[in-house]
Amino acid sequence: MTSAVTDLSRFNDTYFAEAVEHLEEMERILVSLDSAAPDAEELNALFRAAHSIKGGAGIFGFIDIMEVTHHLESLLDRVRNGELALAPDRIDLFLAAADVIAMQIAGHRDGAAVDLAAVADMTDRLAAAAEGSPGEAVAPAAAAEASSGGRRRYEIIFRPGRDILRRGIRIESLFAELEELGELSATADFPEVPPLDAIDPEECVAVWTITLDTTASEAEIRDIFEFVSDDSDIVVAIIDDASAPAASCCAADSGGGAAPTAAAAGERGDASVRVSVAKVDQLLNQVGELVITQAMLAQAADALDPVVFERLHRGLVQLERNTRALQEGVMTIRLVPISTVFSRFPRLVRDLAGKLGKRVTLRLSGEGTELDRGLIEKITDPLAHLVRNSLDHGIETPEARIAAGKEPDGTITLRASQVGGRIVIEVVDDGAGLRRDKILRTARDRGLAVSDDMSDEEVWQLIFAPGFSTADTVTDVSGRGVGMDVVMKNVQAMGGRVQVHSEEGAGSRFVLSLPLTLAIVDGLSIGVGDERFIIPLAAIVESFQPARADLKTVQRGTVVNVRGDYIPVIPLHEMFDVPADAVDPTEGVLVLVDAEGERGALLVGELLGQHQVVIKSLEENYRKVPGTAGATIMGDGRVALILDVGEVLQWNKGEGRKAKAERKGPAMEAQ
Amino acid sequence: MQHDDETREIRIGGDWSIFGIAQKMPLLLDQLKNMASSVRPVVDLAEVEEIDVTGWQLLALWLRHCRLLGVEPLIVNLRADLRARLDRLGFTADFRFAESEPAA
Repeated sequence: MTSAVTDLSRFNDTYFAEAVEHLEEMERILVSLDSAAPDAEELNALFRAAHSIKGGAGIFGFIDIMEVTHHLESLLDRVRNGELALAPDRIDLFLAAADVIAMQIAGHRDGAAVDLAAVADMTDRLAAAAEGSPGEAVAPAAAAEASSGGRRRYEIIFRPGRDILRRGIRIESLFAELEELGELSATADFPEVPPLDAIDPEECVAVWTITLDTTASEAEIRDIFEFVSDDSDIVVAIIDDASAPAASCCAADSGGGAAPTAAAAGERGDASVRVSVAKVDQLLNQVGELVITQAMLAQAADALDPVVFERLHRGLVQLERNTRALQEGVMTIRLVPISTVFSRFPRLVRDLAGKLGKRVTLRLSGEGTELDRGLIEKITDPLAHLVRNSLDHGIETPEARIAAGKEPDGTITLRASQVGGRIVIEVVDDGAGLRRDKILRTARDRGLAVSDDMSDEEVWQLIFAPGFSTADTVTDVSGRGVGMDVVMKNVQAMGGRVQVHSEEGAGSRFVLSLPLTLAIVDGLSIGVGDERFIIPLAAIVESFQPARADLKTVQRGTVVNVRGDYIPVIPLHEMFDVPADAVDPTEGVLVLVDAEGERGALLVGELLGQHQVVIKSLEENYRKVPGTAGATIMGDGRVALILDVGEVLQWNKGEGRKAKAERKGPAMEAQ
Repeated sequence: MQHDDETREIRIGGDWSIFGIAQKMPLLLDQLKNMASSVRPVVDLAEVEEIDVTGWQLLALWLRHCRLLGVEPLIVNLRADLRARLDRLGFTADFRFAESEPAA
């Protein structure tokens, strides 16, 4: 006989993940809800989210969470039924309750500290709010709509998985949850009665037929079974629909009622599966190794006669195709829409705008843009810093805006898009913009080397210096100079860049450019002397051998005329201090690259071929090498650096190139 | 579980939840083995401290096996709160209560 209960922790994780999703959904609805005329369906969705959190908490034994959500649910129930009004302070209370529940979840999940006084206070506030005040106004339309759902009688066939009890699931809690929805009667039966000595008493062999009279929807009923649906058969069918029009009754009577419900349930059940990120990463890593092995095989086969080894070559082509398809498939598993990050900002903007006495409209666009989950996790904080900064320093008070001839309401726009092989996220505000004179003055005061001749772009980059702040007053929102340097550091750590565009009086635009994925890149391998480098294909415009007449020497080096545009030539051997096989551009190849509108011509020795390469972190295994996004292992086992084209262009424009040139000067004299 | 031979009373007590159910199995098997169709057992549940689905399920299956042997045990002294739980979970049909037993 097996031992009683259970490895609950893995199921706990599922509960925590789903509870957090429910909280996010609640927050999303709350910040967009019109308190004067709330949408009935949204009120129902809020109630369902609270109900699901509570239900799961009961099943998994998180009594403290259950208590808070119980009060929250009661209050929401009264609001959706029109018994209480949805005043703005109630929305604030709901949001604060969501914060408390999130804290409790973090406490159970991560062992984070839980402010018990805050929990008790929230419980009291929710309970008091649920009492309401006499004669309170009610949002009539929504209330009427929300409560107008007619009663239905459902038949629920619940065949639990055999292990359900051993997993610590309390069927009593499920029934109690169902009973809260309406009038319940249940009958347990046994499809077979095994010999008594063959019974494992910790296994569930009973099957329930449940009848539920309720106004709740099928979705609300299914929500209750959310945590057992993976290993249980649950069929929900309407057997008596008092609210349905006559035509629907007839259709149900003719046999169409239960079957579609069951079919729909099946479809929903198969729609997704929750897998841990660690497992996906492991899979991705293995696929990465497969790609390297495939490249090695392909390179080894190149030496074999294609006629004699025709079948081998054909097989290798097929292997490459299959490997690429597998890799692309696995990559998509890790992609998540950026809406998962953007959805946090309505609340942030709402709260901060209220705190700062500003009026701000937040616009979101490109929320469907997908990027690697690893990036999603890392981009949240930098974006929050930028949005806070825009609110605190960018957007003016309504009075100041009116005085400046603007609308009293400011606008912050968060926009995401995929441009080539990169994800571009913009934070745009129509506030006061950056003040060049103030930034330069602060930089001088801090002893930074600056001059009035610096371009705007160079001046804006100064705000990313550690501890840099031009704020006259320090607030608890921003202004301590902590943040922008962290933004830059975090974005750079992801292989990204931050560009700033600003116009005084008109607003600012922060552009974050990130790699699409952290794992694999399509690249062109090139040779510089004996070294190999990979240039991401997405950054390459063209490659060519320049004619002598197209090259010009200028103060900072050489430029090449490409159809009338003069593009700086960047000798990679200089940047990476490696021996060159082509110092003269006419003897090598120029690869014209583009990164967010900036262009450069990389001088390389030879073009070797196109590859899909697996990015290995240099920081983890060695250290950050400027101008690179990582390294990869080539088919012949050699290591090649993967260029970060944006960084290479920045290096060429900035101090890096100058320092190299200065170092090169004395060295040449010594020769 | 205690078995009073004179009254044919079977007294059931203790923890009938998933935490204690594994220990109850041998006793139920023993009771079933010694069941005689000429005597009607009276199952006294007064000393049940805790019981959940595992307990109700096992008792219900045991009762069905008793019936297969031609025996219909009578249930007595089930606490009102436990009776309410039994009804809510839908196992009531398998339990034949003595007529003096109040319904939940």
